[in-house]
Amino acid sequence: MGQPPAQDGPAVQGRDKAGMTVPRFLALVAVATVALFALAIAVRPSFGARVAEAAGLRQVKVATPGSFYAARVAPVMEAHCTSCHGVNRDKGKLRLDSFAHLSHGGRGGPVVEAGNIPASELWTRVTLAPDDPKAMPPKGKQPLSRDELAVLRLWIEHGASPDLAAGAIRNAPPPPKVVRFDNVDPVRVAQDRAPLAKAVEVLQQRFPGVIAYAARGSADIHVNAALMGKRFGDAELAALAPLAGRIVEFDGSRTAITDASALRFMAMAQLRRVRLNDTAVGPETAKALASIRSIQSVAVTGTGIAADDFRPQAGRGVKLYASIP
Amino acid sequence: MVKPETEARAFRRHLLEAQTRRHFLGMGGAGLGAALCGLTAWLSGDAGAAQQATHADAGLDFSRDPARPMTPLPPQFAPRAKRVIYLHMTGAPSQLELFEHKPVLTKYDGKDCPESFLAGKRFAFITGVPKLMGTQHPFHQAGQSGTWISDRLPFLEKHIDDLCIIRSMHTDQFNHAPAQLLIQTGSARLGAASFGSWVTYGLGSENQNLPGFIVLLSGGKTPDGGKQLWNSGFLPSVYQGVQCRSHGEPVLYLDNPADADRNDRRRLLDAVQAINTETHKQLGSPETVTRIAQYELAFRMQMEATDAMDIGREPESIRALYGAKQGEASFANNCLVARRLAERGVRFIQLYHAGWDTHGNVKQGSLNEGFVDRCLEVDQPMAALIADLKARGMLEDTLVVWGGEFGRTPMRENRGGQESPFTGRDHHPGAFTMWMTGGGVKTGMSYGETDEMGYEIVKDPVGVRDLHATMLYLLGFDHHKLHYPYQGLNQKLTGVNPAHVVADLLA
Repeated sequence: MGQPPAQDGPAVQGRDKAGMTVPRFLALVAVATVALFALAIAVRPSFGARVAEAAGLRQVKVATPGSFYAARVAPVMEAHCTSCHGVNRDKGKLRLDSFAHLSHGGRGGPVVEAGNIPASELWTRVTLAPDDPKAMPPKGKQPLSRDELAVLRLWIEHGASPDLAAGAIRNAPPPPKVVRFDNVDPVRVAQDRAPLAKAVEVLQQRFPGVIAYAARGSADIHVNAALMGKRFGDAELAALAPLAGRIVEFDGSRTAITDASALRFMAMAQLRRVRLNDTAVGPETAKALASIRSIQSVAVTGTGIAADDFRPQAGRGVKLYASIP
Repeated sequence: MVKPETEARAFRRHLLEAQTRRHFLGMGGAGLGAALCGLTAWLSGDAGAAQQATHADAGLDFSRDPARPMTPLPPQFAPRAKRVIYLHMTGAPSQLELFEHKPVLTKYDGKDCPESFLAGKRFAFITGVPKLMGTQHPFHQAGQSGTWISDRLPFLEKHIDDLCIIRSMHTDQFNHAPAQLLIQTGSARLGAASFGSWVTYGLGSENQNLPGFIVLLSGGKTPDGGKQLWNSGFLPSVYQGVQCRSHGEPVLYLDNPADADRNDRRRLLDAVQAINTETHKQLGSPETVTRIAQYELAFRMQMEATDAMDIGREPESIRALYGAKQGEASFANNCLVARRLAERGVRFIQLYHAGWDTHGNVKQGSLNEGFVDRCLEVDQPMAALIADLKARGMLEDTLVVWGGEFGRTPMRENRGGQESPFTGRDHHPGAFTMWMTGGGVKTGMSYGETDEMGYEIVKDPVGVRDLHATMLYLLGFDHHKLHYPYQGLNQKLTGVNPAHVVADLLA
């Protein structure tokens, strides 16, 4: 610091120590670059395709949403292939995590030939004997199921297309059922619960364990008054009146509820399942429950209500439980 | 002179030592991620999104008032089942004498087992080349579904269309204790939390006057896996199963002594609780809080447990339906008690019935003698349980599960290379049958398939983890989200290996 910069030697003007001119040097660099590109493309054809796509010389192939590829083929790749041929690893320089990547092929060239099953390396590999060192998925991993193989085969036979509609291949095996877990939006849940939140809290204090939300993502209410037995009667049911509109399940078995509460049930306009086994309820309650449009299941075993009281509802698909076999 | 470390200090030191690099990185990562999300949301002026961003990766919150560890919490999604009754047949019943109809195996009865069956396989007792053995009990079709069933389960047969039969269960354990541990806790090694503990941890229990997880034994033998099968493992010990006696007093010493009344008991408890509370203030151990909560539960149970467990309060007709007799320690009594507990809001009711280990080396452990008795002991009660739950509308939200810990071989056991005195089969982890009914399960169906000898699964295998994931789904949980931090990892019932909810089993 503070010293003049050290002199490195005589300044070079357009010519370095080896005697090469700048234009010649640049030309050499350009030739080397082109050669390297050519080599890269020769070794790995997908590289050329990607360069062309990046430069806008070739259209990026994207599978259309709702296509057979997106709906049926991609999930097979996801289940069996992409952990080794995907974003984190690309063994054999092959990625199968999108149609574009699949179409680029791998180190050995394209893996799918449209309409040509025997020439499609992908098909060959997934159908080799499990002991074959070239078999995919490799030994020890779950092989493709019959249905999954059928999906791949049909897709290649029908042109290995990115936009053929999912329903276009009629003889495709039915898609496997997949369970999806919805995300809970806590803001929306809080909003849904807000109007009754205070009342729910107060009543939960008064009747511990009896009142619960149906789920973390729901403002619907389940009531299990059966826990309190005879300590829960018509007066206690009346106290739940502020919540009536959101109660979807109600278990009042073995409680002291009587026909005097019949109208309370009519206020539960969204009630789907009700149990009043071994209580003193009778025809009035039957009439009230029958009038609830949303009702799906009624259990009144050990009461004054008989199956006949619910004939019309049973015809509508309402499940009725009224006696021990 | 170095001052001796006080207990309180030692405890705090242990807590600090338990912090690991993973905790530090985990907290740092989460904090940074949340800050970034919050920042982007703030820049875009969306306060709601900011709140959500911090929430999305937070997992589910299972925190409760430590004094009320069983406080019910809603499940993640609207559940199909609210409670579970699990009927575990310890010893592993033979699927080939109950549900798996294999005429080809019967055709080859007595022939030498093909070499391909034995290559690379390990058996508990089979040595050399065993003989194939066809079913010992004839099969016929039953119900609307035309499902094949043997003649050993005439009562259950009437409910065949209520069942969801899984023929392609498999496990990786071929000895009883580890296989029982695997199916009950998700791990063949000691120390994991049992299914019932996970469920009571996740959902709490509606009835605060009864344990949320109750275990009932019959068959005269504790399961080989021992009490670890209902242990809470790494979860707080308040979630372990409470084994109730099937004979006499359900819980010992629940009654007050002759010269003490409930007020005396209360004053005694208050004094004990004061000391425990003081201890908790000094040491901060959650196990002290567990202890306080358990004393209080026992006090409340004085009122309710005796009533819940007393089948004498059922009408004679109901006892007859189950074949239950007062004062016996039987599977029938336990099934009836299970229904009473389910009605009273107990979350997880676990029954074990012992004696299914039919090797053929002794009379009681053979397919023609002991097995026949076992079937007689369980058939009527389990059919009655289904009928009774159904009549009360409770089968709609109660999940009933039946099964052993593994299956049995299509080969006759030849212990020590000799023909056994009775007919029996060896342990077989490769394929076995379980059934479920109730809460959200598709009924009148069979799932999965074994080969014509009943040896290997040829279609739709269901691993133990898949079964667990499916059961948790029915209870309203994504199995990835029901977890508990322990040893630097978010422990899960299904562990770290992939587990799939079997969608075809869902109604």
